[in-house]
Amino acid sequence: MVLILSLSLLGSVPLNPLLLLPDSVEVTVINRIDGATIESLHFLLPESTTIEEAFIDHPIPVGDSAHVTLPFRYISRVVIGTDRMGNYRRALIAFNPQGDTLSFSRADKEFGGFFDVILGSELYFIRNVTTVPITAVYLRADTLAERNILGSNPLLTNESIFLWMDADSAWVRAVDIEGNSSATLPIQKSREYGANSFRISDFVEPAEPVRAGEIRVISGLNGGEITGIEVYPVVDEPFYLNLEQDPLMLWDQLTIRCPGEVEYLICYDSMNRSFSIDTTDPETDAFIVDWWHLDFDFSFPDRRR
Amino acid sequence: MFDWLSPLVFVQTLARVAVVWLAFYGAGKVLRKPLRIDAVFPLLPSELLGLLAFVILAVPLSLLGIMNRTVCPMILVLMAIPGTLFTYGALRDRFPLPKPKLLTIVFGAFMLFVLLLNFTNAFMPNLAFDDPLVTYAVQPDRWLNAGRVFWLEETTFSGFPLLYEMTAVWPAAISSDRINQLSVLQVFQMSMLVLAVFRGVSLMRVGRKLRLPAAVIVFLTTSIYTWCSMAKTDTMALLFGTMALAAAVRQRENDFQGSPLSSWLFMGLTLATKQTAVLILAPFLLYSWGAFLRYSLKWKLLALLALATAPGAFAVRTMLKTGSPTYPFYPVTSMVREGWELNRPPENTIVNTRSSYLYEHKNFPMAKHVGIFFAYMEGNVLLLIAGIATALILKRWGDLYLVLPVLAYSALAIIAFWPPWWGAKYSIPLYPFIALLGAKLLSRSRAGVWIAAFLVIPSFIIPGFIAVAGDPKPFSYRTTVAESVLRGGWKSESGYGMWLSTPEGMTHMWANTALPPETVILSLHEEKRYFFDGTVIVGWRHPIAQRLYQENSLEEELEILKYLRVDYVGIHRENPAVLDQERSLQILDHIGTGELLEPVMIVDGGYLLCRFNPE
Repeated sequence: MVLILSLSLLGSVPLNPLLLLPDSVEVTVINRIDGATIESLHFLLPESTTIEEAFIDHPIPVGDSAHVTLPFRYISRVVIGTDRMGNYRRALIAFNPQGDTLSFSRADKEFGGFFDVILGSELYFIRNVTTVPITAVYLRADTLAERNILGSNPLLTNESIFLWMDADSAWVRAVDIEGNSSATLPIQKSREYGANSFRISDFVEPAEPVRAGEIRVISGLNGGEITGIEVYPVVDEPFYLNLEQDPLMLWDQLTIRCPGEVEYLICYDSMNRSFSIDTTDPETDAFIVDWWHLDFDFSFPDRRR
Repeated sequence: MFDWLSPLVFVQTLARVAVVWLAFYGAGKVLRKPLRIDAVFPLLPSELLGLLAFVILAVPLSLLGIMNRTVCPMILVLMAIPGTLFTYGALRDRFPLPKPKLLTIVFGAFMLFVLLLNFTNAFMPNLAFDDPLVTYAVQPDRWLNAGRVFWLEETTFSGFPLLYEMTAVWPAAISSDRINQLSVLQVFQMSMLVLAVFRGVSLMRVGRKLRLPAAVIVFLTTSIYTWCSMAKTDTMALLFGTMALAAAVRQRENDFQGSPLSSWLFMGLTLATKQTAVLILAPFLLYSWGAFLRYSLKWKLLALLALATAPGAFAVRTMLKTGSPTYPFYPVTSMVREGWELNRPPENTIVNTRSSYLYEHKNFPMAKHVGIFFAYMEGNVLLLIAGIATALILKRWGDLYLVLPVLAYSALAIIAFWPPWWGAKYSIPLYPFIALLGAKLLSRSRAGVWIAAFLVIPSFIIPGFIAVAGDPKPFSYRTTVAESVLRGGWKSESGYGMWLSTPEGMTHMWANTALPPETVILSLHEEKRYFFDGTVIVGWRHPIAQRLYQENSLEEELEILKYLRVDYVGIHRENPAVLDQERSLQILDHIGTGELLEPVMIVDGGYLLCRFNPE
C-alpha cells in the first residue's frame, strides 16, 4: 500500500478514480501482413450496428506501424483493410489504458465463416443458406453501381457477409459455383441471421406448388448429376426412376407422381454414389439432394459395392 | 434406431471378442506342452501364450500377403473350437462349486452389473477421441486391408512398438464394418481389463474373499471406465503391466518354485505395447532386483532376453526405417536418417505441452497436483491405504516394502507426466495392481474382507454421484449408456449426448465416399485418419510436411505439397492453424475459387476441405 501511494505521488499510477478510465486510448498498429499495406481500420463496439472508422494518418506498409486513437472501451471487433483483397480482423479486445499495441498478420485474416465488406457504416447481414458455394455477390444500391463485393474466397453454405454501407435501399444477386445467377434480392438493414439470405428458391425456376400425390426433387448438388431416384413410399412398393438419359443437374427439379406418403428417397449420381433424403425443404416442399446427404460407406474396401 | 446400436449387435460383439479369447486360449493350451511353457514361463496363462502365438502367426501370414479379413477369421474360428473344449473341460473340473456365501453372491451380482455398465460403454464406438482414429485402430485396419503388416508412411506413429496393434489385427478381422470394428476393439480392451484383474488376483494370491470387492473397485474407477473403453494401447499395457508386477511379487515369495522368467517376459511385453509404460520398469526392478542378483549368469541373461526381445524387435524395425530405435518420441537425434528429422512447429509444442503458458490457469499448488494424481485412482488408492494401515497395525514390515515401489512409481509418474491434471491418465496401467496390492495386504487381517467391502461404498458413491478428479462419468451417465445399448437407441431424454464424430472425422467419412481412394489429404492441424481409405498426412506431425511451417517462400511450400502428392488440404475454415501459425503458411493467402486451395466441402463445425490446384 505504501509503495502504491508512493508511486502514485510520483505519478506512475493514477489513483484518481476519474483518471482510471480514460475516454480514449492510443494504440500502435503494426503491420506484419506479407505484401500488403494497411489502408484503413474500423472498429465495432458491443451491441452496436454501426461500424466506425479510426483515423490512420498514413497507409502502413509491411513492418511499419502507426498510431490510432480508439475509444477506451471493450471492443467487439477491429477490421483492417489492406490494398489487397480480403480483410483482417481481431475480436473481443480490451486495451490497456496506458496505451496498447495491435499487431496484424496473416493469422488475423478473414479466412471464412463471415466476411466484412465495408462500404459505409450501417450493417446489412447477408447469408448463404443454399447448398452450394457462392462465388460472387453483386451489390446494387442507390448510390452504388453494381459491383461484386466478394473476393475469390467463396461464401460457403451457412456463411455470411457483414455488409456495412450507407444506403436507403439496395439489392444483391448471387452467382453460384457453377455460374448460375440467383434472383435479385432486395435487402434491408438487419443484424438477424436469417433476414437477408440467399435460398435455394432464389436459384430454381419458379414452379407450381407441389400437389397431393406428387413429390418434387431438386438437385442442390454441385459437381454431380443425379442419374437415378429410388422412391420409398410408406405403404406401396418402392420404385426406381432412371434419369441416365436426362440427368438432373444443379438446380434442376423434377416432379414425380406418387400416390401416398413418401418415407424417403435414395438418389444416385453418375458415379453410383447414393444420397438418402427423408425430409423435405419447408420452403420449396421439395426433397433437396446435396452433398450433406451423401450416404457414408463404412464397409471395408474389399466389401464395397 | 441405429443398426450398430442394438442389444443384438452388442451380444454379437461380445461373442466375437469371446471367439478371439477362445482361439487364444485354445492355441495356448495346444502349444503349452510342446513348447515346455510350464518349465520356462510357469506364470504365463494359456490365453496370453495363445495371444503371443497369434501375434507371431501374423508375421508369416503377412509375408504371404494373406493377413486379411477372410483368412484371419477362419483361423480364429478354427482355433476357438479347441479353445471351447478346453474351457468346457476346465469349468467341468471346477464343479461342483462350493456353496457361495451371501457376501459372495452380493458382490458377484454387483460386479456383473458394473461389468454390464463397462462393457456397454466399451461397445459404443467412440468417434470423437483422437488416438485410436489417428493410429491405434488405423494400423490394424490398414494392415488387414492390405493383407500384410507394413510401415504406414503417413504417420510417424508407425515407429511405435506395435504389439497391441498386431494383437488387435485378430479382433479387428472379425468385425463387420469400420464402425463395428471400433466396437469390437473397444470391447476387446475391456475384456483385457477383466483378464488383468482376475489373473492378477490369482498370481498375487489375494485372499479369496477379497477378490470380488477388489475387482469391483477396479471396475468402478472412472478413468478405467473411460480409458479401457477406447481402442488404444492403454489396456494392453495395463494387462501386461499388472501381470509383470503381480508375477514379480509372486516370484519374491519364498515358496515360489521354477523359472523366474515369466515376470521379465510380461515386463518386456509391456514395453512392446506402450512407450510411456517404461515407467513401470521402476517398480518392476525394485521388486525383481534382489532376486535377479541371486540368479546364475544363465538365468540373468535369459531374464534380460525375455525383457528385451519383444520391444527390441520393434526397436530394430523402427531403427532400420528411421535410424533411431526410439522414433518418433525422444529419438536419438544423431541416429535419425535424412528425411526423418523431426522439427515440430513450436506452436504445436506449446499447445501440447500442458505446462506451457496456455494452461497457466491450471498452475495449481504442488499439494493439489499430488492430490489430483492420487484422487484419479479413486477406490484403488483407498484399498492401498487400507492395506498399508493393516501392515502398520500388524507390524508386517515386509508388506510395507511391497508398497515402496508403488510410491516410487507415483513420484516418477508425477514428474514425467507433469502436470497431473493431464498426465495422471498415463498411470492407469498401474491401477489394478495398486488395488490388488492393497487387497493382498488387507487379506492378512481377518477384518480385511469387511474393510474391502466397506471401501466399495465410497468407490461407488463418490465418483458415481459426487465428484471425480478427472472427466466425470457419473452413475446416471453409465446407466444411460447401458440402457441405450440395451434398448437399441440413445436415451436422449437423459440429457447426455451420444459420442458423435468431430468435424474432421465427418469430413473423412464424406471424403471416403466422395473421393477416389488414392486421394492424399494434408491436414494442417487435425490428426484423425481412420475413416478415410486414402492417405491423411498430418502436417505438423510428418517429417517432410513439418517443413511447411518453417519460413518458406510460396514456391517452396508448393514444392513440399507436390512432393507429398497432396490432392486436398483440410483446415478449420475460420482458424486454419493453431495460435498464430498461419503467419508462416503462405499458401493460406490463396484460398478461393480457382486459387491454389479451392474450397470443396465444409461440414458442420466449420471444417473445410480444399482441392489443391498446383498449376
